[in-house]
Amino acid sequence: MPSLGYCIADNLETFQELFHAQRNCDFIIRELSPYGVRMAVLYIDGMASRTNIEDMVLRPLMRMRPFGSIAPAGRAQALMDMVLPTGTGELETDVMKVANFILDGNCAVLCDGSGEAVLAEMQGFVTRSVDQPLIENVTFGPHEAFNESIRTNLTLLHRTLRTPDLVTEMMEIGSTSKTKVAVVYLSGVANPDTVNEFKRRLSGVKVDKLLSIGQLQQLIEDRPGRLLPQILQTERPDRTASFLMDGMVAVVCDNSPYVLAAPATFLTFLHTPDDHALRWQYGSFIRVVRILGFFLSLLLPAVYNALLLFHQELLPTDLLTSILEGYTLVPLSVTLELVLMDFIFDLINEASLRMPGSMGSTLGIVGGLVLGQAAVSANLISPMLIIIVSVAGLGLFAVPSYPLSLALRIARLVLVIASTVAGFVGIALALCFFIGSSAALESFGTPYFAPLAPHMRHNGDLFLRLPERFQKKRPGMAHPLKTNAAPAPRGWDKKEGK
Amino acid sequence: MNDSIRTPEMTVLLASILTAQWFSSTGNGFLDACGNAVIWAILAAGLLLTLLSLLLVRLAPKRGLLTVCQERKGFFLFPLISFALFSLLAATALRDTLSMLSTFLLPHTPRWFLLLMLLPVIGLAGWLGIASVARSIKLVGPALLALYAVVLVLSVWNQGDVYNFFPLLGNGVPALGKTALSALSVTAWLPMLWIDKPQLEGTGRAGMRAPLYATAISLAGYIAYGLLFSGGGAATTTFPLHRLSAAGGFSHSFQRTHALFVFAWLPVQVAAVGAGICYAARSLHAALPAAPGRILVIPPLALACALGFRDIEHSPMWLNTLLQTNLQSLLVLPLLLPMIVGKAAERRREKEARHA
Repeated sequence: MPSLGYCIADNLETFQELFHAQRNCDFIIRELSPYGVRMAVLYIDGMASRTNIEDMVLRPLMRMRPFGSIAPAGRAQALMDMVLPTGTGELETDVMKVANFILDGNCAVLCDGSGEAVLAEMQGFVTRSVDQPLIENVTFGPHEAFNESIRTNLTLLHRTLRTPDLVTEMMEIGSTSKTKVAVVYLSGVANPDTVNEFKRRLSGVKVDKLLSIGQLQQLIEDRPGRLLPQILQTERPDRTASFLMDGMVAVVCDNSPYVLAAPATFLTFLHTPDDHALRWQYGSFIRVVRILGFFLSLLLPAVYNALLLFHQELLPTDLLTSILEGYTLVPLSVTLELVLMDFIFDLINEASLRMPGSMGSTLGIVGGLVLGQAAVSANLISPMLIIIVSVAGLGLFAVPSYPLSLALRIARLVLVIASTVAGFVGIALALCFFIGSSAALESFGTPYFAPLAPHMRHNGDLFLRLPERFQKKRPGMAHPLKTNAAPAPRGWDKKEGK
Repeated sequence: MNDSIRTPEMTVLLASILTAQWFSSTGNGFLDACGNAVIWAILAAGLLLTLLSLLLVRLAPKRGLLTVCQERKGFFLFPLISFALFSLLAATALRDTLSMLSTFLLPHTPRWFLLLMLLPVIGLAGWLGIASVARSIKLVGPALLALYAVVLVLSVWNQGDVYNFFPLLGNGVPALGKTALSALSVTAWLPMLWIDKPQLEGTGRAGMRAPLYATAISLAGYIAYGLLFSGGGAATTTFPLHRLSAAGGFSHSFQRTHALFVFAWLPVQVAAVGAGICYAARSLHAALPAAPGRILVIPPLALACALGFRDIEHSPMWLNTLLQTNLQSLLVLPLLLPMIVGKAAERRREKEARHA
């Protein structure tokens, strides 16, 4: 790597060539010569804060005293020690490192006679403020979410976990984009094997650009070809902190408001922070409702299809008569109806996502009510099917993880086709296939259905959430180094103090 | 991949295989020979199974079956015997599954189409390995067990009759003895699964928990089954598992509920077939270590499909005898005998060394 020279003119020429200064109006070189010593401040307009540069770099340089007996080679050191009042400051000789520092939104100060550049953090680019979560909304928990700035996201984590054991290891991915990625874990809790495996996979990612965390997830997942996601994505700092406390490892990516966390198991995709923020009775109840909603969404359309095509004898006569009356004038088969309505439901969902806020909700109402009612009135579909698809759709929206809900949509379609072929037998075979292939999945060495299969230590937080006072151990899925999490959750209680 | 199997998974897997053997295969032979005292025969078989398992613990406390086979002379032969044993297990379970599907659920569907439907699932089970099969069945095990328990309790409530236990000796001692041996043959190969020690994690030196729990669960179910039917009616019972579901007390709420129980017995059957194929493939791998492991799933899968495809009416007598009478369990003896002889010789050598 080329190093800086002692002549500022040569150094400036190097940087002008590197940043295409002739054509690039964003790259700013502000030259000044206090007491005849030529200096230059380099930064990118819009990335660095011009106000801070003026106040903390230019003004002190213009008002500095002469270098006096300080040798030219020591001028950069002198500037850093005695002139520039920046919070961070270091010296660098490598041209590419200086350039990368400038590209991060900071500034570099060059001084004639010195072969070093003074690096000062001056970031001033605009980012979205910390806002409420878009997808992972809760009733009782915190309402902060990550944003696109990696520094802000790491700050949110540090605020939640005020411990020196919170370690952040930074790396860059993308030969052109040079996207900053941070591996975050709790030293002494996270298993070193998991941390090393994360670092190994991340350092093995060789791409030109890394623009989103979703892209990174697909590049480091165990089995990206499988339907179920194997790494958690979350936009919540409190949830990430909880994962870190359990011994999991998180990956924070610049320009992405989501964080990855692993090892992830199937049940963790169905948990929300509300389960813990509420009392254990309420938390358990809503979790059970959510899990039942998941299975209802997965199975209800296929079971309905199987009942009408193969197993009508299972239905009570009155119910069967009522259903069949609705099919008197409907020209389509049950399966076609189901697939069509499912497709329309997904279409309305996608369209409402693309529309601006108020129009999106209006579209949902129009699409759901008007289209559904019109379709029934036109005898295109039966009334019972609207109920089936609606209930299945509600179950889908109850799933907290968006990737899992997308997997659920696809699995539902496969089950409907299987039920068309062979009724309950088809559904049972399809479920055996799904469960079997999912049981073989792993997430960074942890089986996907742990701690159910294989049986592992857990802290009573699976289907039901046990009271907080019973959750003294960390779950074993992430193989944490420390298993004790809470020695005395209700230590004030005389019964528990014994 | 983490392919360890722990005691809970192995327990559920063994219980599933036992259930597939006892509840899905026709029970005519037992009941004709033994009458109502089939319960005692099954209990005696369970006791013998436990003793056999203890014997095997002594013989090879820390080694797997295939390791033992490799240590014996003629090591190529024993893995092939093991391969045959488990392929026949898979074939029996597959045949029973196809028969149950074509008899009760999809009578108008050609048998070849039913096999085609089953093929991806059982092929996947063999491909993914025994650990995945064990984990999958363990995952749904509690739900299946609860479903079975509900059916059994309701059935016993409706039709239970303790006089079904009597007369105590059924059709006489010889018939009872014959039935006990026959029942043992159903389960005699199970300790060989247990003896797959390297796969079992945390089982300790004894390692008895999985087969004991599995046997206890299945025995309890079969005893309850014995209470359900009187001697006359039971003689014509085939596919006891399906019969159980039909006898359950749900008929007040639904017209016919047996179709629902496909969710209960099909995973069990698939697990039994999958386990047979997995262990057969591993046995073959022990005989042919140079061959890629997963490709060796194909021979047992093909063999199971070929043997299990035809139903009883259209199969030759030798095949029916092989699959329906559990004679394949006799293949265990050639594996056990050298182990017993070898252990005895080892003890003799140790004794001589001590005296020397």
